[in-house]
Amino acid sequence: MFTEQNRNAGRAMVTDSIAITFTLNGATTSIDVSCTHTLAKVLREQLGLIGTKISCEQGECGACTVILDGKAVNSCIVLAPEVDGCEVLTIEGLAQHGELDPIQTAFIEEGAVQCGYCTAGMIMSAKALLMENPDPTDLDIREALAGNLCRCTGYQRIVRAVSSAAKKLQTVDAGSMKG
Amino acid sequence: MVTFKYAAPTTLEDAFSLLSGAVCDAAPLAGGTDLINNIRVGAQSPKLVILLRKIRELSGAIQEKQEGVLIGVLATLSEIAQHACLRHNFPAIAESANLIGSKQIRNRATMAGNICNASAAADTVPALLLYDATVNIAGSNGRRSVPIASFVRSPNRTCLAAGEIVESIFVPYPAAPSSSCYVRFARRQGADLAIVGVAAFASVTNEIRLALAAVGPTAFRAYEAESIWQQGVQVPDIWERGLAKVVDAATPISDLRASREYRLALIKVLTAEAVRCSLNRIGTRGGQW
Amino acid sequence: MTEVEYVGKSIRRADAVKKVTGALEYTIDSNMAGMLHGKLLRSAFARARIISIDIAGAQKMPGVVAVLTASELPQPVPRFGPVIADQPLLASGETKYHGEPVAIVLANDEDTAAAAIRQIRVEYEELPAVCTVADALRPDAPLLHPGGKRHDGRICDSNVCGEFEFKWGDVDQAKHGCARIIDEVYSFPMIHHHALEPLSCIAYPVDSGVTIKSPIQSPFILQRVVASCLGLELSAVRVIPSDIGGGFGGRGYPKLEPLAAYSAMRTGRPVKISTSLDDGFFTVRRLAATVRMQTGFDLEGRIVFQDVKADFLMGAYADACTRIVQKAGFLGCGLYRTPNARIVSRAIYSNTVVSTACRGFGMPQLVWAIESQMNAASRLLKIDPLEIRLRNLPARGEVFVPGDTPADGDWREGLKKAAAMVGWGDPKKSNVGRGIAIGVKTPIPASVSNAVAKLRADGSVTVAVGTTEMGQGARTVFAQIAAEILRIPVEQIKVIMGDTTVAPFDLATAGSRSTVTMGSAVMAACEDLLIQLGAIARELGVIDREEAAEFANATIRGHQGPISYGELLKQYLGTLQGEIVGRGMFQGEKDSSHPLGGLSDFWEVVFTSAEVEVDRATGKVAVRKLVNVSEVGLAINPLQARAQEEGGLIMGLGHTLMEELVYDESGKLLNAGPLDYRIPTAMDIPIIETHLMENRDGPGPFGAKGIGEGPVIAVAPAIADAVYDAVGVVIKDLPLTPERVWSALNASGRGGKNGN
Repeated sequence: MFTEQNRNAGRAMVTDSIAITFTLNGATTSIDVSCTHTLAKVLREQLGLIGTKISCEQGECGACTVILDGKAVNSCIVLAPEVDGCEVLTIEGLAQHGELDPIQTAFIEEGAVQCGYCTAGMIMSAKALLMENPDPTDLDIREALAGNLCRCTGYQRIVRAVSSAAKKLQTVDAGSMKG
Repeated sequence: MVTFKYAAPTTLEDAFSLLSGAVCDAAPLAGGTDLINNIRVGAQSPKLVILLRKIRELSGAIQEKQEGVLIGVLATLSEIAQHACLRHNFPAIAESANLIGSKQIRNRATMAGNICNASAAADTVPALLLYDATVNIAGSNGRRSVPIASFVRSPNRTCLAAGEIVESIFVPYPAAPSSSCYVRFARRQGADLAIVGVAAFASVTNEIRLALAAVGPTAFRAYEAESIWQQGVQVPDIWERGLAKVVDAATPISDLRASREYRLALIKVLTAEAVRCSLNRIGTRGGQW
Repeated sequence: MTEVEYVGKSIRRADAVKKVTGALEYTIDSNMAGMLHGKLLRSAFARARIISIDIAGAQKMPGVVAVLTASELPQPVPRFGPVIADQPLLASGETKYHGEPVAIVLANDEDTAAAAIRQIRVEYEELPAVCTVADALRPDAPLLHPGGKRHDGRICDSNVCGEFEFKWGDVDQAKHGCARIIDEVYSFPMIHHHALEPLSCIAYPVDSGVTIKSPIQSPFILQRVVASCLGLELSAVRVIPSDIGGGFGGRGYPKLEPLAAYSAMRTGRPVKISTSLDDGFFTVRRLAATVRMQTGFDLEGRIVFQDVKADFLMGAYADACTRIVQKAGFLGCGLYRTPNARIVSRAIYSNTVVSTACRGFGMPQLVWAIESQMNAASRLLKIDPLEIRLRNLPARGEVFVPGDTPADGDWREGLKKAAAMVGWGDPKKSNVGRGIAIGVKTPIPASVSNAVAKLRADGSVTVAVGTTEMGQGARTVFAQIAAEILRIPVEQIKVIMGDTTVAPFDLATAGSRSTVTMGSAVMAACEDLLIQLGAIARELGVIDREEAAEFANATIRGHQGPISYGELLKQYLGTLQGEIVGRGMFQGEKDSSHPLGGLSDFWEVVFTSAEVEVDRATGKVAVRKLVNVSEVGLAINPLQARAQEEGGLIMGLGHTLMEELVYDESGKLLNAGPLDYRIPTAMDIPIIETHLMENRDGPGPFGAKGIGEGPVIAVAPAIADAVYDAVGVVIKDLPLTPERVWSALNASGRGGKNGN
């Protein structure tokens, strides 16, 4: 709806900092952010959520992956003000009531975690994949993770963990559908 | 970070006044995968960053019109890669979009941004050249449309004037049933830049089109090869003559990623692969890949 | 023997939950009240005279507390280094490599520090730089450290920092009448560790000393180096390592910490220097190498002699390079029977980024040459590559490097296993090939590890070790060992790692040593606790004087049934008073006649095989399968051990197929950063299969040996020979990029169509 309010809002807003409201891990969050800060920086430094890791700061390594409106993105190249009105899911939002997400559990069980620095980003990419494609092939998984660099694991266990989590989630879903 | 100001206008009118207004040196922000990194390393230093996402007249919709497909400026590479109509009717476009960067990049980056960045290796440009796509531009002086071949001027330069933005890209349906393919060679299987990229088009009327990326200052159509192949691309002699024209038209450089000689060799290999693939596909009318 | 409960089991990692929930705090995640943020200005040239540095613009920015260049530091500028203290806190007078820190801004927040850096103006006079072995050794080459000290104490009169010679038998004699001599030169590129966690550290002044928080692999080395650099007592420097987001040797030795420590003491405030992934490329790399090998064979393919000249190209400062070059040179013949040998290994300075330890410690470079020679002999003598190696492998107990530990494994079995796992001898399609290679490494000889185990009054246990956790799983392994000895559930063992004030001295977390050395120390510390518990039990009359103490389920078996440790201590110490402390030490055997100071505790040996398919038209090598067999003695945690194997293989795949730091002639690093330095992604990996050979024949706890580096060592020659097997080209330089393979195919006329 085109209103007088909208018109004014469009003209007025050249700014250094801006108030944004977005859904963060399921909760409505309103904060003021500097417009030059990235989402990664705001998550880590303003909101104290250090689970989103920074490494390359140029969208090449995936360590900073979060899920924005249902899609995996590199939060180091998303400006904080851009998430106004959006839904953001970070690694801290996965475990529910102290219970790990099946992807997190699978990473542990498959031995897919070593130094752990890439882990959060990997898990978020995996989560985004399974949200979109609950029955991915091996190739689907690798493609989804191609933007997440790891130097420790050699990836094989990570791919296996995602595959295993997918199967577990499907069983859970099938079970709950029967009920 | 270099300091810049930010605006999130809701109308094109507001956006244009910001772009060409008192605050000069403004950069439009779509996916941000080039812009934000460029700002970080100092390759771009805009004083103002203007978010496009909230402008009501702009969209990321991919609309199937009568004459072709209209791809909104905000359409992400992921959306383009997964769009059924594009995959079926313009496989090279969907394929090239799917090869750029990683999932995370594709979920944000737009095709409009890819062509505006105008890297010599921009993967979507060859595919758009195949189909003689049109770039719809909007500015404070009104709208205009430019063929993709004229849109990209040189590495990292387009024909956009100050205060103009891309509004959409229109890809017309080819006259006859056809298909296409995009292949590229990179240093690794995972997210990478193209060393050589080749897009090929084949129609049931024996028309072959070919466009290449990363082997010239901009992507280009190999028109001379195309007209030779018109006579029968599957005839070895005609094929070789056309291929020689492709190689002639290319001006690859030697850089960190590959030498000129290697790129020339890859051109031959990838051209054959792309043409073969698109010929196979018209058998299956595009289909899924 | 009682049933083993924890050792040999794939116990969940102790830090797993923290890592998968993002809760683990790495150094870069940490902050302190009142902390200054330090950002570095890096040199734009490899070698340049610093004419002037204008810091006025930066200094007057609000929020900037200090701007330091060499001129603002004490003169002469403090230097640091684990062997030779040659690296200045900030470039002094002349920069020696592209990216060398030239200035640091200390500001109240990160944005201000980053902005202030841009205000600093440096005037350079660019000077010619040397970036290759050939250039560095030219008689007229500019010297990196004129007048500086070499490794052997002599003054530098060339760019050779260290030179080592090892020999046995009589090589010159053996050359006469030798049936076949293969004389080749191999090259190994400059590689970056590419750990994902960016380098950072926090230092804060404490009394008249300093505390440093850093992802450092070897906290006691950091302590010693900083103390020495800043003129402090060891007790005045405390190092608290965080979990490391990827070490690979690149975090083994001090880099930014001395500057952070100095800055903290100077300003009186905590200082955090943080960087991003790109900065790592300007901080550390692996040694490159050019190796000339002349290998003599008899007609049966047995080695008659090895004449090795290994020139390692190091960076601008010594770091640990002489040690690496010495150790690798010592094993310059690999693990084969070599009746006559002469090895000269040199460490040569260049105007490139500092090289340091990197997984394999010089062995990947040498094994690339050694195994390529074996492959060459296999071709020349028409002996199968598997067979020729079998003929040269020593049997268990056989000495192969005179004066060192004999072969300590069933190496022929391991090699055959790796061959079988890759389908050696099975029919294959055209353009498909297989290769096999052996990797070997010695851990750190004559080394020491100490551990302390505390059993508290309530029965809870902490084990303090100087080892650090970088993903290899040491924390979990030590908990398993402690749990096994103490008969306490593994979840109840808390392992404290690396804090130099809390943990007793450990030499280093490096060299695949920790399971053996620190594992043994932990074992001994826990056994000490049991001895004390037994003594307490006897004193309390719980067991008889002559009776052996029996432990199970965190209890000691007394006359009236089992008594928990906590209960026993309560009786002995009084309610919740005191604790008992167990101490353990491992000291590797010293031998001053041995060039490395002592014999090898064990040999880390791997057998790597590969199957590849090569696209003749493009030169692209697709690795279909990569296999690794590791001689581990006993895997304390098989899951973790396998994970290390797989990771090492893929790291090796990187330098085999795609990784290479590229410098131009002026010494500028052209591909710093993940955009143009490509490491393998999930899309690049083959099927990986691993196998652990467990003969319980290691010197570590329960027969364990070490693991961690081996799998990276032999990947390159295995794949290179598979490429030869597939398409008939021999390549002696890494990486085997598609272009390099394509060039080789064209040069040999084997290029073009794939022939199907």
